[in-house]
Amino acid sequence: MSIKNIAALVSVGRHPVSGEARHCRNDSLAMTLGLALTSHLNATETNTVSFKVLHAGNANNTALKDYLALGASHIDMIDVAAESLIIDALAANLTNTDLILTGSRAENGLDSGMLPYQLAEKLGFSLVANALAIQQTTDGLTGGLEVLQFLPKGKRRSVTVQLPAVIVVHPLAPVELRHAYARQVTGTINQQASPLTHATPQEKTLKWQTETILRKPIKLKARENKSGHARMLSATVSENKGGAVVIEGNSVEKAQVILGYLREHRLINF
Amino acid sequence: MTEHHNIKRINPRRAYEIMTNGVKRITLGLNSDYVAHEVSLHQTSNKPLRSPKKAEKRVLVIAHSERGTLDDHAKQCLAAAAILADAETAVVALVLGELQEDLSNAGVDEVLVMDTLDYQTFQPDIELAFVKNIITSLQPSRIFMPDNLIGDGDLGRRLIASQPEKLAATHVIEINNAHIANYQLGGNAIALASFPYIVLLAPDAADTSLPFSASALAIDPLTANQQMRHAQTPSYASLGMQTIDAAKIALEEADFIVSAGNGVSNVQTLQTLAAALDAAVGASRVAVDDGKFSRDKQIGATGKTVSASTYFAIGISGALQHLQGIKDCRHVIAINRDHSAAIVKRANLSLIGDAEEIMQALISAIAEAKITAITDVKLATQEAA
Amino acid sequence: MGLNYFISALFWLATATLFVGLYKRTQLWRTGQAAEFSWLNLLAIPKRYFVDLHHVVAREPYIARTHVATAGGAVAALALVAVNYGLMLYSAPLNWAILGATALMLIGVFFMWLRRRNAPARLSRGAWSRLPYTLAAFALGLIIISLPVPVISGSVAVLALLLLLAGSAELALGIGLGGPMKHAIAGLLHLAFHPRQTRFNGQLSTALKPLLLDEIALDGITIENEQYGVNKPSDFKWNQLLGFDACVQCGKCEAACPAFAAGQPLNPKKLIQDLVVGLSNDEKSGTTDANFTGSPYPGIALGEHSGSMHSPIVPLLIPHETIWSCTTCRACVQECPMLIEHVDAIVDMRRNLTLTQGSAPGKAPQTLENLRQTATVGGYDRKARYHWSVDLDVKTIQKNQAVDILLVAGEGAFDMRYQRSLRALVRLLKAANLDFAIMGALERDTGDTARRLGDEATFQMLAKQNIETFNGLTFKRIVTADPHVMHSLKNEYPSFGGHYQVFHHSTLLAELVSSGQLKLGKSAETRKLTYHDPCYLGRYNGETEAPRALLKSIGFEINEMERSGLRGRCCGGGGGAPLTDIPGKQRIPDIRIQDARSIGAELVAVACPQCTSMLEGVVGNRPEVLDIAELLAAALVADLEVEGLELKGLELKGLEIKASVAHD
Repeated sequence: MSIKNIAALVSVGRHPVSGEARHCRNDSLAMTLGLALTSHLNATETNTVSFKVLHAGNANNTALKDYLALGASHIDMIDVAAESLIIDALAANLTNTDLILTGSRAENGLDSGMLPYQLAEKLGFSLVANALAIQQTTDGLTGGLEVLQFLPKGKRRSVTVQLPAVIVVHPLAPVELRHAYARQVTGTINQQASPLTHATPQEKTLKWQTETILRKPIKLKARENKSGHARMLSATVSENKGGAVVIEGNSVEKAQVILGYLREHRLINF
Repeated sequence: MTEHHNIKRINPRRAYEIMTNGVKRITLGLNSDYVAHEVSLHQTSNKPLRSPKKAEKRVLVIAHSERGTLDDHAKQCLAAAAILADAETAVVALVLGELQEDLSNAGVDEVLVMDTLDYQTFQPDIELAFVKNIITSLQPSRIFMPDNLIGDGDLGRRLIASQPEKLAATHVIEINNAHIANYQLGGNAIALASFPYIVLLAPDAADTSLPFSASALAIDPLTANQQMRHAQTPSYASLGMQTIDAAKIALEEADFIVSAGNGVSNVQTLQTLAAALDAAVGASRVAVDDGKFSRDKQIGATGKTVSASTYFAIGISGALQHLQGIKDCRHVIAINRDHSAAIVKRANLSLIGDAEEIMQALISAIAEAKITAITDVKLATQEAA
Repeated sequence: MGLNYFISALFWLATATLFVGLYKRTQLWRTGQAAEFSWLNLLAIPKRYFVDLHHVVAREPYIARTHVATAGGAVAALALVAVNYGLMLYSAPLNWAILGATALMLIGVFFMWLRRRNAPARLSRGAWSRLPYTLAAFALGLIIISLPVPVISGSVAVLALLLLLAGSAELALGIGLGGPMKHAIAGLLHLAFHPRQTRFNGQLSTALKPLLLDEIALDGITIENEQYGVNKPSDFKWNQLLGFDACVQCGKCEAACPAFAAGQPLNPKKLIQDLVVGLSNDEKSGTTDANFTGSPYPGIALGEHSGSMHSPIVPLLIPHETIWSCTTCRACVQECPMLIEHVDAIVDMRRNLTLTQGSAPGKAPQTLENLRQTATVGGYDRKARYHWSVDLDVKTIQKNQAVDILLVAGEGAFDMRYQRSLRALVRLLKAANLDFAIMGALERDTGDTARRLGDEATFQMLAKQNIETFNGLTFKRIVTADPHVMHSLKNEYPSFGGHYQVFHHSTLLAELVSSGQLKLGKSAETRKLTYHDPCYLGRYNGETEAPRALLKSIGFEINEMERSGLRGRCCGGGGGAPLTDIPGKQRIPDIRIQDARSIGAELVAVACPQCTSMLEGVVGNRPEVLDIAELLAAALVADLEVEGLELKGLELKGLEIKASVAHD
């Protein structure tokens, strides 16, 4: 099965400092990766590959223009009244798609990173997360996509996935975003009415309450029922929590201090 | 309510421990909900045991292991589950991948290990099917998973998506019995919700130091689950892993960074040290401006923001812009000539002295330590044989 | 007189050749985009030549004199030849005159040749080295034929004709073929049709011209290339193309260019010559830069780039890094005897790269995104811009509250180092009892960096937002410590309808000191001081005196570095250069600090946040860098005021202060 239809899903982001509406960087990476794959396939394959950029949500958002500047020549926008309808609206629009690209996490709304999973579940597509690079498998039999996945500590993994599939792009994907004003002027946004006339019965969701002031989260700690002895100990012998300064001693001794620290905190394995 | 009801009463049968020398010891202030046990032989600590005698409920913690151990993030999930569990609830750990460590100090009551589901092999469909079977047989009241990139964040979301009727929360940064919280609106808001069924926990939401230990009984997952199911036509296949050389890794991703400032005269020594520590190399603005390092090595407000667990600042005075760039680093070790430098105030450990000399000494010390480590392993294998 | 007829024929042949060649050259220029111009400007040529152009050339008197002799002699001789031989008068007295003019020319040519024997590296070789010989041939030929000898022997006549032929080939054929002598015609026409007409009215003309973006957005139709800057040579305005042809390859720009000195791949002379290479309709093969005989872009070999009128300039003709190495310091423009506008050409090309490809390198794209999304260069919270002033009891401007001075801090306000300078400035303004207010959270970046990086869209967005904000406020004048802010607000915002009185803090403070409103003592500083002129204050705004006057007023002697005032050397901080960060052999600020070191300065006074951060970024033992405001604030008399007492009068004697205190 070769790729014929590629789609990238884009959402409206929000600048972390100014709160200004903007493109969501993670989605832009996915879109740029899709654009590159499409033009590569169109240059090498005989059949034409179509690429669409899809947004479901509020119609009046100027931030979508950013995606035009970043390379989308055209954005399909589905006007969805409620957030709970987004998955259904997208799914209805993506049934004939072979490959759906999304960012890993939104900058607006719940930011749960669940959308691609819910979409894949709804459409019955495969899903690969943490993608850094994608290419069509050269082997016709495996018939799908080869994905380079991000794993922490400098590890990478190559996997193949059957199409149709949802690919979630990792924020560190080596993609250069190029914002060009001229493309913003020539690109178009096409607004569509939501194909859903009524919502499917709403699933159970958590009721979130947003706090007005951004605070540091409180770390969960076990309640210490310390003995008087232990309390006394902790009060007198304070744990050596950082800030240790070693001035005396020769270089060899200092090197041993460093080694000791690294071992103590299991930062090295020798 | 009268006054005397508030008088603190002492439980005459309060918790005690039997020390290894057989002496009974009562520790004041210890929660009497905990049942005293004899300290089991395999336990090294003398902490009281939390494990319920007869568990009526279970909470399940699912996490992938790496090289036979669970990482700190996974242990935070275990700790959170154990701290929040009541006396009738057992904490069950489902470890995907092999496990060679004892989890009793991590608060785990029962351990299920499925070593064929190693994180290095990409088999999300098989993992999901297996986990769902375990859930069906254990019927946990809550499920905790670390929201990480070694498979649990992915598996957790697949699990959540596959059962839309269950409540779930991801990226959870704050957790207690009353509520959970996470960042929303692109990190611009903190949002609270009541406790859901599945929690994907962000790093550092719970403290792993526990005042109790647990029995950590090993249970064969296949008896709990009868059989592993294999997908008919696998949708996924792993083609293999690759590891990027620490020197080539992007600084944002690096876990160990050796960073040079103006006080580093010999770049070669620093490179050697970084190679010995398998660390990425960074630099302060002055060192980059000076032409010693390329611009992509620059760390700080005008360079890169890094989040390595270990940040080794050598000859860096610690300009404010530089400290901004390393605010997410957990362990900062500094070598500096000047003990009044700003970096010394930030560092967890500072060595005052000549950078070149200390680096040279450290390089030899590391080389020595590595040789010893290898001989130790050889001796151990010989003994075993 | 057979020879005379030959010469007449040669004259008309040469003239015809010249006109054919000139026509062809004109056609090339006309490939460029339309530009507003007036034929009447041709009348302005003599004044512009003898005043504006000569003013630049006269900085090197040897060249000025040589050129006066050569060109003056040649022009006079040619005019006389036109009359005497063109009109076939063959009058003996006119021949005498020709002889005189030609002798003058020959003297000029001799000194030109003398200098060419030991030419500085900035000069081009090749055809330019040939010039003394061809011109000498022409002069000798003319001398021979105009000698008052009744009969010239046949062989001498033939020799004279051959010499004249060689000379005419240079003068007539050379111009059409793009030889060195084209500078004469193109240079004069360039003076008439110069893209910046106002610079001839004794004004500084440094503002960039706006791109018409809104009209395009409204029409939504296909865009003319010219409107997104310059992609190919034909996208330049025709008078810009003409200007490039005026280049004499003297390399004054090269010698002045900080990027070239730092070994970055930019040479303004080569850049202009590359654009001349692009003046070719040879579409297929294009013309390569292999024939360039000057210094190449550092680190980039000749012969690998080629271009033609309708093919993209970057990267085929000019490498990417070249375009992004420029600090827009205008030193090249300041030095150019032909008044060519290098910086405009570079920004035109940057505009195209940024607006159509988004391909600015380094940290530039992130910066532009920051400007779009936060209206700050560094992506900061706008509300935090004036945090440094919270304890200074400074008014923040309100919508319905009139103030005399609006203080605009600029991006430097986010830099902890520069906040010291700003705090010093506030103390000075307070000491002078001025009615001023800071802009607070209302302030957006002026967009200066975006504009220099070619992002006209972001610049115009910010400019319009700022103008709207300013329009809602009541103030008489704007004061800023940042010359880049000053340049945008004062020189570039008028194109968008924002007309303000904008002052650099040094100008304002100098006024206050001279009027006595600001009372300063003498500085306690004993270190040797020099003053570094910010490009955007000096060259862009002509202010070189106020900072010096201020420093002198508090007792400093100013030791001038090599290159100061309007010819000051750049710190490397302008034009987004620190963001694009094109690697070179050394850094520009290192060169500038070396200037300071070499005169033994221990203190460098600056007047710009960019200069402060660039010069302070120099590693190793270097002079201390302090803003003028900091130096002045340290000499503030009010600081010595005794708390609780009211000072009625002050008498200054050196550092001693005698205060007559009156108790009410």
